[in-house]
Amino acid sequence: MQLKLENLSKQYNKGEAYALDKVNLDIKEGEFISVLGLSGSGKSTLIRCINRLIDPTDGNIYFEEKEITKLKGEDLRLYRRKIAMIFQQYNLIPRMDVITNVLAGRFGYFSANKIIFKKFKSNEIMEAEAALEKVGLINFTNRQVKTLSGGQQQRVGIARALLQQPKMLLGDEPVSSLDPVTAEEVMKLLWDINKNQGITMVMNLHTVELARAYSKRIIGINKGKIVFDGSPKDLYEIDIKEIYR
Amino acid sequence: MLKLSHENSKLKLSDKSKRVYLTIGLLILFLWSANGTKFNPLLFRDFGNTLNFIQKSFLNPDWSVLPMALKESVITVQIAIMGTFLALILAIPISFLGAKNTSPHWSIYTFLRSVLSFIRSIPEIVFALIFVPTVSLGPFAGVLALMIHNIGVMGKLFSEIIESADIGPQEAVASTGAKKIIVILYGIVPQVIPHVLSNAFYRLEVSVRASLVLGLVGAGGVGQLLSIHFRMFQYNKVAVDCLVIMTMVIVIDYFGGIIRRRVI
Repeated sequence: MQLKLENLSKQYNKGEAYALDKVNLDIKEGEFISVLGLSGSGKSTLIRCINRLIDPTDGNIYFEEKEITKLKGEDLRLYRRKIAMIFQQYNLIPRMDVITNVLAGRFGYFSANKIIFKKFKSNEIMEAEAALEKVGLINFTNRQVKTLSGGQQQRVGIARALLQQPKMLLGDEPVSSLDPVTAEEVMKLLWDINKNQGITMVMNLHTVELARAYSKRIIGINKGKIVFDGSPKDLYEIDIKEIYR
Repeated sequence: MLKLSHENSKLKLSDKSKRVYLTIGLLILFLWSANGTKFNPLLFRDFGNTLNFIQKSFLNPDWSVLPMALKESVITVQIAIMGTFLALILAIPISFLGAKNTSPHWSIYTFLRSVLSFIRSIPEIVFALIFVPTVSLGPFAGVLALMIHNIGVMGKLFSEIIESADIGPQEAVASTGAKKIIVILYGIVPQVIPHVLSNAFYRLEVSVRASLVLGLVGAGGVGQLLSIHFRMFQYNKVAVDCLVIMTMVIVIDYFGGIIRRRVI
């Protein structure tokens, strides 16, 4: 198992309902998993617990057989390098050009000195350009990110994630802010990366259709509990009703 | 039905009595203040004196002090620039240490925020009154007074700007495994720079007006010139000082506004 969640729970404030309620989940390397659920169902919390942007209240997380639930400081940092993330609002660094945003994928590897004074080596810049080539934005290296369209910004986000050379890529509704055509293109790109590089994908998605089309396994969450876990062909109308209840 | 209308009239009555109490209360407040300020409508008789005074001094300005007033108002602006710029340089590191999301420890955050609140609550003029007799009469005391007050204001303001920075880019940089300092420099700083600069320019405008007042207690600039002329009963010169000040404030506000719109 690449990732194992054991009775994982998250309660943001005492007395409130659990955002995650004793979730158990096993993820194998190279899987493409879609997570479905209403907003507020706990799917963002689930994904953020995996890379510890959010600390779980209870339960354990194992990555490649090692417990990472309570990692701190340098250990947590080194763990996070293995897991990249893309976001609904792309979350690029404002007021910076495309290439710097892609190089940000290596910020977990570079020294602070190197980042601050932009002393990037030519082979590092070439790697960043190769990632931009892969996402189809090689002609945009020196553009300011705010001048790009939503789809282009998400591609920069994906290039940044690729440069991180992650073992797993998390997506918090990566195509929810895009038009249907662009959303399909971005999903296709993620599908290609999963197929060719074997990077495990865990994507929160906003439509059942996208989940069916691109993933081999769908997880449905309702009120912090997993209510469906199976392949798209086993996802029936009654299951969808249960997820979006 | 009968009961309902009865309740309604009772409600109206209580509304009415509330209004009566409010009127009486306001009247008492007014009379109390009138008494305290020795307000007497008959004193408006002396208003003729005021018109006379304006005619004699303000409509008859002594232009010979104009070069002097202009030179001193440049010093006023320079005091404001120094008092804002030095404060900006010191307030930036302080605000990162004093913002909840970037402070290395909660005790540092709590300590700095209470110190900043304390400094901010003391008006510039109090600092000037301390520095004029202890440091020197003139601009340096003004710079120090403005700087300290501005550190209080900017430190709190910038801390709040940092705290309200969008979490998105911070999460993005953190999820690459970057160190905390990089998360701050790339996840927060690019977002807050325009707001910090815009507020610094606004503080500069405010500081120009404040440094005028500081001049009145001897902290240099055109305010000090005005106070000297006033105390020597040279009202024709006071008139010129006031005109120069008014022009200066209008010009500064105009250009400050343009710059602030550009930065954001």
